[in-house]
Amino acid sequence: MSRKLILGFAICAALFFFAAVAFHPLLALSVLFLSHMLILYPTLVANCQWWGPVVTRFETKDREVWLTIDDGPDPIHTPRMLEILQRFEARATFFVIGKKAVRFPNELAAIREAGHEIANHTFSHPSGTFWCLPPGRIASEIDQGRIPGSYFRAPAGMKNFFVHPALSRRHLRLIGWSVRGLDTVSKQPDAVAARIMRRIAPGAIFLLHEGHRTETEPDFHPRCLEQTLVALTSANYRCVLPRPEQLRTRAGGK
Amino acid sequence: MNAPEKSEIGYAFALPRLVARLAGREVRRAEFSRWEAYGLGILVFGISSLFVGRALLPLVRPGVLEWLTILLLPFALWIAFLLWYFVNAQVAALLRRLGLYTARTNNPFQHFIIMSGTTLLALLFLRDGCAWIRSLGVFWLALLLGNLLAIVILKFRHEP
Repeated sequence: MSRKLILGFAICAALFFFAAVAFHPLLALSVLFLSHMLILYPTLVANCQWWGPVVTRFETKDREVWLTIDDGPDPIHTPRMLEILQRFEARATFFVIGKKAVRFPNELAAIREAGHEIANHTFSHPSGTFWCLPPGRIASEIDQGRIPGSYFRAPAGMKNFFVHPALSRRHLRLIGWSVRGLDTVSKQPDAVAARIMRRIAPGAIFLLHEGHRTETEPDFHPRCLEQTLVALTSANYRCVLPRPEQLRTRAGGK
Repeated sequence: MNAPEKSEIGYAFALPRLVARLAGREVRRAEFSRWEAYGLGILVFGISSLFVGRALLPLVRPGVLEWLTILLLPFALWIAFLLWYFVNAQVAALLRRLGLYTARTNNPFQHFIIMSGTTLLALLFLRDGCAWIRSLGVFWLALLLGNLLAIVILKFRHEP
């Protein structure tokens, strides 16, 4: 509903702009600017629900959380991440990049064989441009990698108004997060774990990464995962894969 | 279908395919070519920005507002393009419901509308007082006609 309202207003604002710019340029520019800000806010703010539902938590009465790992598979990180997950008896969903999945099929198969879940994180992970791609390119980013599963996560959580219709046509749900470790920018694994633990709660979805800094700090992401799992275990949390009917948006809807 | 030879180049547009063939190179039709897409995208966006800028700037008082308009124009235009895609998608859905549009995706319709719009702007450029803007209009029209001609030639040669 909010999607149609915002887009309707934006189209009216554009028409008003053309009608009024010759007489009241400042007013015309202001209305256009307002409409563009209304478009940009839900596009650039991750987990904003204005364009459509974004799953940000799941319903549970137990101390359970959903671990999601983005940007794999990776020949250096994935085997180590799988070993750590096995040691802690944790389950995770790997949001994989299609291009990497094609390049590293063995790591992809290993994730599946270890009982974890695979989900779609676009084909080429265009983190700087995904938010402004036209519908044809968005469709190809979703389809090209042929990633199985029923979940999708947009790069950096940014999605424009073409993403939800494209996902619903493919019966995919957009997954956001409740907590993210910011492990792609952080320098300390314990800071990543501490950040997650500050905001964790039963039913939280938390986000870690793999496949970054493999040349300079190949241990960094596995250590982030390990320290986070140590902290979660000592707080009696379990990493599980929620069922689709448990998933909730921030507004509380299914 | 055999996998394409490694030496074969893929082009989405007919004009570079024809030129490559005339130059004696092996070439195939590609669904998507990154460089062609970037080149065409920049050209379409440049023509649109130029047109809107030329129409808008004389209406804006010189000074801060003028600079603000120049600064925000490409950004605002990109959002306008996304909105245009949205409107086109609604029109395509309506045409599909009426049975007048049967393609599997909206891409052919979107491309047709964007190309037609840009061609219209290029035609308007031909009447512009500035020589290089007229040249840009001629350049676009030459590319378009060249591509249409290349489609016909490749069809006659029974090439896809």
